[in-house]
Amino acid sequence: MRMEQKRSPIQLYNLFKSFVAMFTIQAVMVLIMPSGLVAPIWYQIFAVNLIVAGVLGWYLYKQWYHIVFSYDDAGFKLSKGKNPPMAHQWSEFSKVSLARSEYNEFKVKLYSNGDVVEIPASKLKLDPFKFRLQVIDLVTKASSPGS
Amino acid sequence: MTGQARWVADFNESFLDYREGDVKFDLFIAGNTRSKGFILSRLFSFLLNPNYEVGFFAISLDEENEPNDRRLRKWILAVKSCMQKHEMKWAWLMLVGQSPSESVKKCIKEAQDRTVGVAYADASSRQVISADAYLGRQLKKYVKIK
Repeated sequence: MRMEQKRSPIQLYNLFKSFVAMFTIQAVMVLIMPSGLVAPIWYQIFAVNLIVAGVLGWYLYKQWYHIVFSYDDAGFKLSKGKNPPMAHQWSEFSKVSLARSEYNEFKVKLYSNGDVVEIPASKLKLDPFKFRLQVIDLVTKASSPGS
Repeated sequence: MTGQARWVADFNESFLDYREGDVKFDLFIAGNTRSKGFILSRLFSFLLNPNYEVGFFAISLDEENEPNDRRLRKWILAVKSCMQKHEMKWAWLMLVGQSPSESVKKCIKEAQDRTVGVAYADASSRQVISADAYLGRQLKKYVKIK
């Protein structure tokens, strides 16, 4: 029995996006304030904006984008942000494919009677080609009659 | 086996050991004839390329599954069944083996199907034998064995 393996790498691009979103909101708020009020403490406001954008950006990233993936011989769990985790058994699936999106991100797709579940291999910083072979192996073992 | 860096389709999903009925394809890749890219590439593709789903199937041959008329027909039917599921307009079936006999060559050349192009890649002589139909000839044109 394989030990449970867990992957939850930080997605720097999405973290940066969250940071920029939070910084922009604050910057717009500062811009619409009277300049006489803001100008004398410009550097202090800028420093506070950076710190607040860092904290809120991290919070936003964890709420919306952070992916946690764990798996063992029996099945896997995948959760994104604060959404409830999606759990499946490998034996539920009959076909495995490796798909590339138009942004050159790889996903391992699992098919079962018309339903498709996607594991975002690139976002999890897994080698998509090796991971696909590993998933095929897990699905085959889980579907074999002796398992 | 590589192409000649000639764009054929945007193949974006691949299956290994893909089963269709009782036929097992060692490789099946699916794609679309409309390319992706930045604004100009997209516009060019939108104006000039048809929006077709297409596929490529490969079977590695050995002594046990050497092609004959009946077997080839079965493989083509399996390809067509898969094409129907994926709403594909056309597909290629590549058989990869070594030193095909004259009967096998004849069988490949006579594979006449308008939507499935068939070819045999002979790994020993590095030659590609294709069906006389249009898609088969195109496959031969694109594939070179190194």
